Amino acid sequence: MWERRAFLKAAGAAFAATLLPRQAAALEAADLVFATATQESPGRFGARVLSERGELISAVDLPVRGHDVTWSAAAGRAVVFARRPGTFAVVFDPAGRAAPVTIASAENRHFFGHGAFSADGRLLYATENDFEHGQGVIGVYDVAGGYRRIGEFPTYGVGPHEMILLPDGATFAVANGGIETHPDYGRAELNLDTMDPSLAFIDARDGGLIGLLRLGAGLNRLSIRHMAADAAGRIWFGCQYRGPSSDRPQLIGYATRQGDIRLIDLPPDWLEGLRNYVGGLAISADLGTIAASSPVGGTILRLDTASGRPIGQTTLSSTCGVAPDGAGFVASNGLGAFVGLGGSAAPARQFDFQFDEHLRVLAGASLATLG
Amino acid sequence: MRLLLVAMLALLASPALGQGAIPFQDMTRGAIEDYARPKFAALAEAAAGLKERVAALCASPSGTAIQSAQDAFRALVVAYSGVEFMRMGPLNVDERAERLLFWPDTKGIALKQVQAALAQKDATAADPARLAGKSVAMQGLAAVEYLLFGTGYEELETSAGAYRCQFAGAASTLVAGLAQSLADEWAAAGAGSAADSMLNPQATSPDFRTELEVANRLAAVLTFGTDTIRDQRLSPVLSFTTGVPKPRLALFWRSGMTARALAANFEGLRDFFRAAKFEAALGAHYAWIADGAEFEFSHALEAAGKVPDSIEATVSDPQGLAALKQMYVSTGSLDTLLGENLAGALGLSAGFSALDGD
Repeated sequence: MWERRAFLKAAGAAFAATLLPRQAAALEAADLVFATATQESPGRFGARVLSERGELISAVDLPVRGHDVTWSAAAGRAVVFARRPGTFAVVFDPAGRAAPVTIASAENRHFFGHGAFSADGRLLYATENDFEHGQGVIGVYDVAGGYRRIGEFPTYGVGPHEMILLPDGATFAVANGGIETHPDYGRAELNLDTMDPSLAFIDARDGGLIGLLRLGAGLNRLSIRHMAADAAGRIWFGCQYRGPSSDRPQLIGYATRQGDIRLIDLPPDWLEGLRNYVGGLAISADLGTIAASSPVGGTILRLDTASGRPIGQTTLSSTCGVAPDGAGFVASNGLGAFVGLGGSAAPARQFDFQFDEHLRVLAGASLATLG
Repeated sequence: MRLLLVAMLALLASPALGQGAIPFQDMTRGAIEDYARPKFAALAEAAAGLKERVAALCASPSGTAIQSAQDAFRALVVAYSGVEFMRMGPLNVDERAERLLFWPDTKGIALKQVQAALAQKDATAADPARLAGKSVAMQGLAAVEYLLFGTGYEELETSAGAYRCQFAGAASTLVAGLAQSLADEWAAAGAGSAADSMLNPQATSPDFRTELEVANRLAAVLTFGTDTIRDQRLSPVLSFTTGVPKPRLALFWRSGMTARALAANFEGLRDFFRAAKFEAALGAHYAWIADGAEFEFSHALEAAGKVPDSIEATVSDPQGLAALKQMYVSTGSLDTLLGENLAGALGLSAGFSALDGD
């Protein structure tokens, strides 16, 4: 950590002052802290850290749209990744007391917008595109070494999107969306006719493949994108369908390390509201409920993880960000709304900025662990 | 300076939900009546023209007949490029968009499959009914272009090219049939029609449940268009990752229609912007967004006019290359105006939500 310490020592006074008293008080009083990428005003982008009451704790500016935020209590740092095909990630202190650090993507790689820290907070991992070979990789960054890129693992698939560290602290689940892109083609999808999505279990220590699971035949246009792990060891995932819009395939399922992968059968009424698109997934604090959001359908669906049955549906146009709070979930949208649902006591609030697609709880974030 | 002004105004302007000066339904009606219906009718007419000219070429091959079929293809490219971004309603059903144009095709699938069929004189590719069941890459504009302009097209001048001509005839027949279906479906007005689902959204509709959903999709046509022009048409040719332009990654380079297709793309988007009454919806307060979009459209069209027909010559010509880059810059400005600014002003989320795979 010497680099960061030396840097903080040199610049300490200035950064310590960034956390204004009002924000320090908000952080101190906060039970839960959320982070999200934002559009502050048309064409101005950033990331914000908010209390569950919506009070601003800290913010960073970004030159273009950000995507997901990942956080490590052990490292005391959050990272916001640029939206794909992103060429940077910004590491920041959620308490706003240290200067942000920008990580540039490696040559012939770009970020996909998601990543995860190791359990001990010493390494940062990011899903990336080896775009000349059309293969997904996980970039590995040394936190103490100034986020130097020290290596990469394959994701054993094309177009990886979200990666999560499983509760064992030693295994990654990676959603290989199966869609090939190349920065010379921006965000255009280049292989819809030959898509091959998969969910990979990867050993976090050496990048070895533990298992690669695919959905059945005829489902190769179902791009697996986002995940959340439940108490029973199931990795729930949400998909986006790239086939004809008149089709209505199932979109939510789970996989296990034992090699099981299946889609659950949502009744047509519930499935319809998702409009073939799940944009985010979250699991409740008690690990018993999954929430799946659809910005296309303007819907958030809640499912019981034990039975796989739907238990509630909330309409919120342009929603995507969804995260657990103590009792239920909070959700955000592209029009500045922040609401509680599914038992949450969070009051609905309207902000003058727009929430981007993901909302994250910074678990264990407090004045004691930050800064 | 203008962009700076836009940015400053954007900071001052507060987004107001549904502040549009006219009802959303007027926009939808305009998009249907003044854009989708006439444009898809023109597409059907151009596609029928191609089918007819290719049939004439096959019936009596000659240099003049080739020219005539090629001209019809060029006219179809213009009609198609003016309407291809209208991915709501009929063009959004099944794999129709891919059947019309299989693109981007980074692995050259269309080329390989068409060449293989030519080499084997595959009879199933020369029969419209059976071609319809084959790869979509062999059925649309990319396939027809190769057959009419690609290596060996000269054989169409005599009976030696009979198979090639029949293949082109089968593909043109499928394109014409699909284009006619699109035109007919847009022209329909009764219950269950595309127009009805947009004008009368219903809570139980699989298409649109609310007027806001329709408005979001109308706005998304604009950003889908500018993104597609930039990401699928300009960016691969400019190839910023290598710094070496790649003219053969251009759409329609064989027919020399790259620049004219781009011009028709921008023109089509501008026509859509006007037909759907976005300027009126934005009102006086947000007139700068409409003014900015009109400015960028004409800027891009001016640049497209400076690009020669031969895209291979263009990339080695500093002026041509500069014009391609200018169009690229315009797509960025249009994306900000028609995505972020317009959505913010109208209380839409089209420019700022996960509509495209994140």
